[in-house]
Amino acid sequence: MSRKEGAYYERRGCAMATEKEVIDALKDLNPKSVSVDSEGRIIIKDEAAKKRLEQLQGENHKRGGNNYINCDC
Amino acid sequence: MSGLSAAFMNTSLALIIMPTEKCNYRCTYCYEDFLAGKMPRDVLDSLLEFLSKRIPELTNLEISWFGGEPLLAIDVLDEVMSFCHSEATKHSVALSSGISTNGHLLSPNIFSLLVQKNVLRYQITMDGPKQFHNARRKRKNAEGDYDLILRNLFFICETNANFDLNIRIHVDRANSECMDDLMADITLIGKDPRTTLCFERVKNLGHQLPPDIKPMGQSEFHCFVTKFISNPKYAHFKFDNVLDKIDTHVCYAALPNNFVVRSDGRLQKCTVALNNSINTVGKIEKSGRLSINDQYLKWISVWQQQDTALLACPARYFKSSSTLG
Repeated sequence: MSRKEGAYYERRGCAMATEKEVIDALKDLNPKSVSVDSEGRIIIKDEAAKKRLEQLQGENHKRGGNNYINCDC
Repeated sequence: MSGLSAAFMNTSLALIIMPTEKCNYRCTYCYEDFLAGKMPRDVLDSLLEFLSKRIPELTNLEISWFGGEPLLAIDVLDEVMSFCHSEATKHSVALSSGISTNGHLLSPNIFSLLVQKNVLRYQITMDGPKQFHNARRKRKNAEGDYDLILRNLFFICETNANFDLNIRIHVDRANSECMDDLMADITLIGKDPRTTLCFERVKNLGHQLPPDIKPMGQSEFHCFVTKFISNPKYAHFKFDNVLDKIDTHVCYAALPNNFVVRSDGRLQKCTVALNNSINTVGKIEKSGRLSINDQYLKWISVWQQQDTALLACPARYFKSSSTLG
């Protein structure tokens, strides 16, 4: 996501998880708990942070979208 | 913001690919060194191999083309986008793509090919009206080509293609007084509902600015933009300078699922700090596998700090730290 797109969706008022919600969800994230495997998958060992992120993703679905690419609200 | 939580999920991947780094331009303020050439066959094969393994697990794939100048390696772009389109269709993955180009090679034929390949977001920079643009956005061995770029933009706006065009306008104290001339030249392009205009101030991004560029301070820039875009004669233009107003936005470099793919196969996070060793977080191996090093953690560490300025520009943190490469 480019900064411009971020701003774009923020301005459009998309009813999805806000940047602040996501930043808050990652408040106590230990960076050492995040890694990338050889296939490019992100591995988050911090279960609490992972759960909070998954909840936000779930919220996104409930609010009517699931990704930024097709978001057109 | 919608995409942020997805950036931590394995179902979403964003790549900024530099298919060549030997630009046909030598903009007088550019921070790139133009040393790495076109992506060689073995790196391209490795990238395709990586994508072939990754795409089936995704719901969203975002490919951005950067260079410069990405259109000099249109064959690489064509091959990658053809592959991604085919695999994304097969696995029901939402594929989205955009390009930052100087516009020199954005001929009707190339534009048509790009649209066909699903490259639908365009960012083209203008450095002000003709005299400023041509003096600052110089070609390798010649002046700039303002007229050609405008012709290319006029053409794409005459098509029915479903694209977004962002014209980024570089502004400094020297050219700010002449912006009305540029606006007059791009009136038809700017009126197109698919076009957005965005002012950016010229900044030193790692290369000494030439003396003819007089950078604006942030508040000076804000005043300029606010005054300019509130002028009723520009009411029909769509300006996007919301970036400077929002409290929190996150740079792609801070997103775990976002990688810059250099033409030599290095994986980085930031498209500006290209020669900073901290920026190199790994590489694509010949097998298509990624080897990620410990520098990656430094980019993720900005989340822990909860500092919105760092999330907006993680590279700022590394510049101020003693570990700068």
